Amino acid sequence: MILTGPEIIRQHGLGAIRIDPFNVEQINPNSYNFRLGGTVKVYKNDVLDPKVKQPTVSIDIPDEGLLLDSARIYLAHTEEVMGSDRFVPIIHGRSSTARMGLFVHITADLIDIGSYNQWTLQLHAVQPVRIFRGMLIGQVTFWCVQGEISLYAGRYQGAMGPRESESYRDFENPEADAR
Amino acid sequence: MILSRSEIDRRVAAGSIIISPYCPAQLNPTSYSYRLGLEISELSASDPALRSDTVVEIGEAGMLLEPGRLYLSHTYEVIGSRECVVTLMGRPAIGLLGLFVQLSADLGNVGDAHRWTLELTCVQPIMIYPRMLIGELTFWEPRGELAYYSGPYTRYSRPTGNMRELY
Repeated sequence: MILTGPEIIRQHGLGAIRIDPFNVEQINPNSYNFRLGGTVKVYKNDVLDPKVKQPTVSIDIPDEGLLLDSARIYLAHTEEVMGSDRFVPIIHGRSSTARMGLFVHITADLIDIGSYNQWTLQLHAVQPVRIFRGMLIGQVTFWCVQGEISLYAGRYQGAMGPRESESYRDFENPEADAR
Repeated sequence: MILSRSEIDRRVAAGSIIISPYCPAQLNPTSYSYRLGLEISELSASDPALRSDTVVEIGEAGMLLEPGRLYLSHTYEVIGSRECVVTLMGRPAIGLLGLFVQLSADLGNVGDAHRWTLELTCVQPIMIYPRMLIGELTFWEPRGELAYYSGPYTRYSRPTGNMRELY
């Protein structure tokens, strides 16, 4: 079951959903629009290897916007800190960003229940696209859970700004969960 | 309703969710992390009526994927449920490297268990390795009478290209 817009407002008021800053004008019939934060990371290497820690460079999005190259992956972040202990957030592009050929995530749309941070977005432009800090770039939906809930207890709790992949940790210790 | 970690674990034990091999360490708060299988096929033709059946093993040294190409691989695990709906996505750590693990078709059918075909394409060149943790499964409780998938794909547990009979 998916929460409606009025239910998202109600659960935010009760403290069961955190969206900070929260603006009621960003509510849709069954989702909330989030904004693009000011920092983007790119990988220094062209060829990426999940077994090896990949160095990155941070870029502040200038006032005139940042033109995305379709041959690179850009790690961006939400302006809002979001999370919930009761509902599972799932992120989506907005139709207006999708119509510019801009992906806001690369097949990984599920946010862990109980994690509170600025969410990292995986931006990929099919054709060159210009992005601006503060733009409404995506939307989040909230879903009800069946069964006893165990909350996220990983290392990204409270993380701000974009974070790069730590998939190399999977190869250091195959039993570890490197989410 | 999306199933929680403990509910997924309970249903695997009860046999109504099949994940084989199953490792509880791969459970997340509301999903299960699955591994990449051992075989891959690269689509070589742009005409969808032409099938590429060249399936190769991904060696232990890994394989370099190139942007602008589509590769079909599969889950290492046999996955399915006749009780809940499975959706399949990439793992965040893999999406952060710009590797698509499926292309907008994330919804499974209620029905028999098999190894699921993955559609891999990358933004930047990327190495992949057999049995690496590559994606996540979520499980959803449906509402209404159940009907089971009986189409051609459940017969396949290897990377399976599009079916000529679908055209």
